[in-house]
Amino acid sequence: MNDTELDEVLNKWSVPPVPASLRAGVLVGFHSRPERRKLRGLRVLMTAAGIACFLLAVTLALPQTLNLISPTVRAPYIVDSDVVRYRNDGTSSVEVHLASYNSNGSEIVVYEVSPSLLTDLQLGLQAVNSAWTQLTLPLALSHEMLEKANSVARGSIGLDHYRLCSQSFGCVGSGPALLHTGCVIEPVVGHETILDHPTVAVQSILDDRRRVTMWMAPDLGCFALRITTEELRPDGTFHLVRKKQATKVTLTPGKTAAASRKTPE
Amino acid sequence: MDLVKAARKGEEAAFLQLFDEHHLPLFRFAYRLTGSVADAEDIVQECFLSLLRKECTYNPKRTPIRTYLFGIVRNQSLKRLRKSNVGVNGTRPRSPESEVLRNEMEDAVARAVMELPEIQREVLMLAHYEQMPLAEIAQVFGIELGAAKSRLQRARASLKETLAAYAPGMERKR
Repeated sequence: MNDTELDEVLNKWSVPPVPASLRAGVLVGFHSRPERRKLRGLRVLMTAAGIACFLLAVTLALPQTLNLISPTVRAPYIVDSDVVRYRNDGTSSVEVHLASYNSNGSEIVVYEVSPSLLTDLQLGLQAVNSAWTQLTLPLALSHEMLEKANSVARGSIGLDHYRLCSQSFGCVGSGPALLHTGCVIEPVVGHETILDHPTVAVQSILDDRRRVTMWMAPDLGCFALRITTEELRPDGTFHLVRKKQATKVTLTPGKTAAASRKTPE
Repeated sequence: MDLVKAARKGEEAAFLQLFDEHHLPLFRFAYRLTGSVADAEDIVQECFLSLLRKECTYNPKRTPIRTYLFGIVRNQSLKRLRKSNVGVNGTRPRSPESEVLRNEMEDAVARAVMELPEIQREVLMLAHYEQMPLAEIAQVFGIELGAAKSRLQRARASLKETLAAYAPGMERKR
């Protein structure tokens, strides 16, 4: 057998036609390969990030936009406070950081951060949000934002612990009547200057077990720069369980000449 | 732009162009190596999809795409053959489809080729059936050109003996 003859014989071995399903299968594989799915996931993620950025930009632009369409309400000051919880074993921890002010006798919480409940990421976002809020809200609040802030204040954690109620005046901080009495609603238990602001300390016993003392500053619309809650022990003494303490008062420029100052340790 | 690069970026047209240009010889090679249409189909499909994977080592500056694809088909085919307990001599149980499709002579040729040692069989398939130059064959198998040449010569010599009875002149006498 020569080479030509061998080639002729070898050519007798034919191959069946390529199944049509091969092309279809390859195409299916092309469209469902993991890399593509990952890419699609990445695209979705990037789209979501884009939307988030857009919403953030809109949110940041909102105060300025609202300024144009509705009159604003000036927050006269912002008070930074820490709420500290005291436990029976003698330990204590900060439950929440607050920034707030009083408007017509009601405390408006601008922001609050709960260090024990938040993850690092949330803390970071809260910090950014807080910084921005502090930058903008003390200076100008629209009516809409004020309403929003009020609703937040009503539902915010911790505030109920410090709301002092009286049969004569209702809850402290809820009515403008306080302003006419120089923040006095109960027997005054003391006077103290906190962060350069004179305060009147009033005290009330709630449900026969808790004693609440509030140090309210008349020049800050009766804002309580310090609030303590004490619980009655079986031995008849009161034990401090929670304290809200102002750490800084930031006055809106133009309102007064007083500067903010850190709480002395 | 390089078709593989474009296909990896998700361009379907580029991927289909690659497929259309190369799938026929790859399918033939895979079929002749495995003796099964279904296996050949799977192997060729896997071959093209592997190009798109991140771990794919294809480098157009180093290897032509055809050489690379034949290399993949070869490796995949061998893997399958070893998994399916093919005999030492390389023969494989014939599938029903091959029984139907082959006539006596075709079957004899297929058997003769499959009985060649693996290293000769593959070189012969690429050289004879795919008309691939020896230099490229050497690249597919990662061997020297001389080695590819000698393997081919040995394969042909062996087949001349095995298939002597089917030589055109002899066929009429049978």
